[in-house]
Amino acid sequence: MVQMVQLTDKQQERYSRHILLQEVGAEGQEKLLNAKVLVVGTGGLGSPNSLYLTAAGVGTVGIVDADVVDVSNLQRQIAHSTNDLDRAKVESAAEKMRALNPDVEVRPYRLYLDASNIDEIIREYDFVIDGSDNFATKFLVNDACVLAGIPFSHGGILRFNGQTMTVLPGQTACYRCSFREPPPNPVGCSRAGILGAVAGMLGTIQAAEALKFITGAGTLLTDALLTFDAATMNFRRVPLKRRSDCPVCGENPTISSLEEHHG
Amino acid sequence: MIHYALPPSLENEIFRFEQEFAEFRAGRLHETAFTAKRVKMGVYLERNRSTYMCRIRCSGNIITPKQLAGIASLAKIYGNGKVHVTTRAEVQLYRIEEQDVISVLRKLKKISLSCKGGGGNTVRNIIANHDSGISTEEVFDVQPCLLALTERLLKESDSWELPRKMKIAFCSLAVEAAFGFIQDVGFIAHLNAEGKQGFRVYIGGGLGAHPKVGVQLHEFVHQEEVYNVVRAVKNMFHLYGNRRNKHRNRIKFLLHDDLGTSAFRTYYRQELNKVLEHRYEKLDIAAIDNSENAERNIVLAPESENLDDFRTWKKRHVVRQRQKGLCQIKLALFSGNLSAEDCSALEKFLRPFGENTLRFGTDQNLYLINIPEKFLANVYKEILGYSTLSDRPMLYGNLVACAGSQGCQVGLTAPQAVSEAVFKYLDTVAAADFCPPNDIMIRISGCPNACTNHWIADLGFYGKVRRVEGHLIPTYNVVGNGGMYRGTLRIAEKAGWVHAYDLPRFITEVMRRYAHFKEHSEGIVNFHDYWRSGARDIITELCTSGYNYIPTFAEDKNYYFDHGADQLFSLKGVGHEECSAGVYDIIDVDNKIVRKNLLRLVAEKDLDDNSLDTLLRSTLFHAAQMLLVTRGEEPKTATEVYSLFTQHFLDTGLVADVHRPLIALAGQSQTQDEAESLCGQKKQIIAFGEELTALYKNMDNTMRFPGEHENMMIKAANQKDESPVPPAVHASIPNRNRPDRFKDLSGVKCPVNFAQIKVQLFAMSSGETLEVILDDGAPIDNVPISVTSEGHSVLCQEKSGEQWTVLIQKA
Repeated sequence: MVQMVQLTDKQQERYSRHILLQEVGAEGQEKLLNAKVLVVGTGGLGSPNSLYLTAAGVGTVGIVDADVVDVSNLQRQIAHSTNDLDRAKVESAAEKMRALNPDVEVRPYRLYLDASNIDEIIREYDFVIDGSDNFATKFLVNDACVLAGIPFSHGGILRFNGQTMTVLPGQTACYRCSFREPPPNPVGCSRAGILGAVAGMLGTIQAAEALKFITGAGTLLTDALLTFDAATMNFRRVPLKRRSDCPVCGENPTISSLEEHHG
Repeated sequence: MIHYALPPSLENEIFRFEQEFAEFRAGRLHETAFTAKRVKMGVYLERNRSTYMCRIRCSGNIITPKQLAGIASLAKIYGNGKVHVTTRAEVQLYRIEEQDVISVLRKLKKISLSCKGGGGNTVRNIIANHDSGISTEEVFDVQPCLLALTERLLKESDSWELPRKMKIAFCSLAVEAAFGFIQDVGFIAHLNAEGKQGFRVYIGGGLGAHPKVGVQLHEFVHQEEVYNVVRAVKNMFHLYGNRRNKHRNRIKFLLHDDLGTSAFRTYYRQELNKVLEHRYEKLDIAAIDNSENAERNIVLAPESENLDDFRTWKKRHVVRQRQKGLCQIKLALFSGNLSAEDCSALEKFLRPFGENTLRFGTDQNLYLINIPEKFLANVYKEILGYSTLSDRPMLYGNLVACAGSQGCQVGLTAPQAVSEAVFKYLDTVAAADFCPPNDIMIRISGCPNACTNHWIADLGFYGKVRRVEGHLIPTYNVVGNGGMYRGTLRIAEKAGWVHAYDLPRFITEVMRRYAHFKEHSEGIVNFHDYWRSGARDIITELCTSGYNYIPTFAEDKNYYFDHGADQLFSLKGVGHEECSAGVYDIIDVDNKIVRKNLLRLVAEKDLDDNSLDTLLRSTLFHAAQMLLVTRGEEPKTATEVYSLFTQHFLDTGLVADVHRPLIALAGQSQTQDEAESLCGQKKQIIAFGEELTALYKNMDNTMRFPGEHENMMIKAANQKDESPVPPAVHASIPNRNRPDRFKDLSGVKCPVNFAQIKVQLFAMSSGETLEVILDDGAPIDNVPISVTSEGHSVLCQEKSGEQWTVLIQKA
């Protein structure tokens, strides 16, 4: 049975560069328009992620962030402008996204993700992108996605460095397979600094992974951790394996409820 | 005579319209079909869905006092007692009852006026700056050329059957020529090196929701050549205009989006060459004498007046003409409205001054012209008694507002009511506080359609509905800094939005700040200088800080009402834009009936003979009638339908000859009673219905069917002049089985053309064929290679003219 194409003339023009790609085509664009992606964090990583997903015509993009725009964010968080200071980040980003592409339904969530609310939110989505700025959230997103079986992209940046991996729960290595627990005294961007463009480099890699996942194009960055050092521009791909003793996706998981572990 | 001459065919046209109106009222003519005929005659259904608005063409913004008084008496007898001036210098009569419409049209004809082409897909009223022929700044008077062009176009039948409306304007001023840039075709007065009078020509301008500035088509065209330019543009529009999608079917879309300027110019050049070969008769341009009143003895005693108010009025509203001793006087109208009584009084007053004394401005004001200076006090004393804005600051007359939700079917908000509130607020605040600046133009539209031209305003607004807590509230988007700058037109930029309730406060605040800026600046400064000095950001900030907060319904209900309304704001009553109703809507009426009938014929097995016969007869009739309108035919009877169908579709081979006996049978029988039953023909009639609906599906955007080489509209227009038929621009490959799909990609650039092919192929089954039209050059060089590289086959490609027909088979 041949599927009917619903793309309007305007959409055919807007997304022509996607349609031209043999791996994407009209079919892939249809999939994008029907897809739902949640971006956690609307900062350095969340900005390029949400803007590229919106531009690409991902049908529904959810964005989560409880913060307001601070002047020190503007050096890298490109979804916000100077006149957005003190506005909720999700509101500021949503405005840009809606202006960029009216095809996209933008759903802003102004809240902190925690064990009590994350499951309900992510279950609405096909793919999750972690662009959070702290380890607690990164582990929370990992565990919640693994438990709910929702594919996601992990990402982290510091100084000149970035790292990212894509996880298909139950099939490929998860974040906890390699990193068991949050480090005891983590250094964050606020103390160590970050080269602004590094956020864009990593965020766009995550966005590309999301688009690939939805359209089925190419192969995903799974069972591997991509790291780069923008100071030298060395990129490295570290192979990872799913661990049978992983506390969340292993054979005898010790984490089976978010509330207990993250409460 | 200083106004245009009516076409001789008008009498018959009104007569035909009268019959159509009667058919419609009797329920024998479908509403959509009737609407298409009605709007062409300049008659619109009002928002109340019961009374009508008549839009009267006043070519070149000219009207005589007698005509104005005539219109006024019609307003009094049949309408709402008001005469309304539009931004296209037409006059509108409102609240005309159904049974009076024809009388109004007949009585207008008696005073040499007509509504024809007031709406629909037609050549609309051709306008000029109100002071053409009298301005001290102008290059030359463009009115004579304009009137000659109007008369020529009114006589051409294809002026009433365009793919979409066509707006033309002339401007006698070289600098303040904003109007020339926002027309489908704009003519701006210019003298060539030899000092000959002519025009710079601009094409593809237009405002609406997608404003575009016209681009120059000719650096100079002689006055006498103006018709050739318009004829060529009309031909192009017929050939390439997209009749199917009426929302994208203005010349501006053809130029800026569909073809691109360079392809547009190439095609235009081809059409112009054909037109020039044709050697059409030159326009008969007769000058208008605007100096008559300077020498003539006017039988009236000059009065004098010594009041300060008189001097203020003179400063504000009187401008000296280039004819020595004569003046033009602005009669600032409130939202373009003047009462019938004032119109009659004005006619009486102007009698000693002659016929050539009135012009409409595109700012919805009335201008008295050719008045000797010594009679200014007479004018002043006379018009003081009228209800106009003559005794108010100039700003009041510089505020243009459309009818919006108070009259128009598509209006969202009520700009005229908000203007009234603005004036009230200014009266109380400004009088005490500051002097409203007199050099600013404010334009308020009730929807994004931009009828008040808000995109060229210093400060513009257009209605927008926002939703708060489940309630709808009326708001306005704010735009600013539109207008002429260094010879080109700036489209206003968006600065924010404000709620309707606070618009008076907002406008007053911006005026106060602008007045303050003027006071503290050196030399002469205008709103553009103010805008550039940082006012844009200030205004944006003003919107967000003071005017974007909407109280909850419980806190303040005022925000949930529009001005002038006593009911909660809602979108109830918003209807369809009917001015674009055209051929496609008429076809769709028949098409829908045929398709519905076909479904019933297949699904309902147990119909009795009588109902089956009725159903079959209806299918046959509507299928045969459906596409006749594309050939310019409007049959009146069933017999006519079948004989015209035979002529246009069977004899030409567009429809298979197997249907001939069926059509012959149907053509013989006049009424159902004496006709033999069609029940035995069920299979044939279903096949016929299916073939016709398929034929319509394969019709291209310029109303040609697969295999047809030319546009029948142009053929019809040219045949009347016994001209050679223009050669084909598009051509399909003859004598071949029809492809499964067809897509015309002429004017679509790489790689969007290939992307559109991919979308088509995606929806097709393996082995099916797709025929596309591609442009010569990059498209034909690249697209077939791309198609084959993805595994599909290109079965054949053939060139005709500047285009290629390519047949693709899906892998």
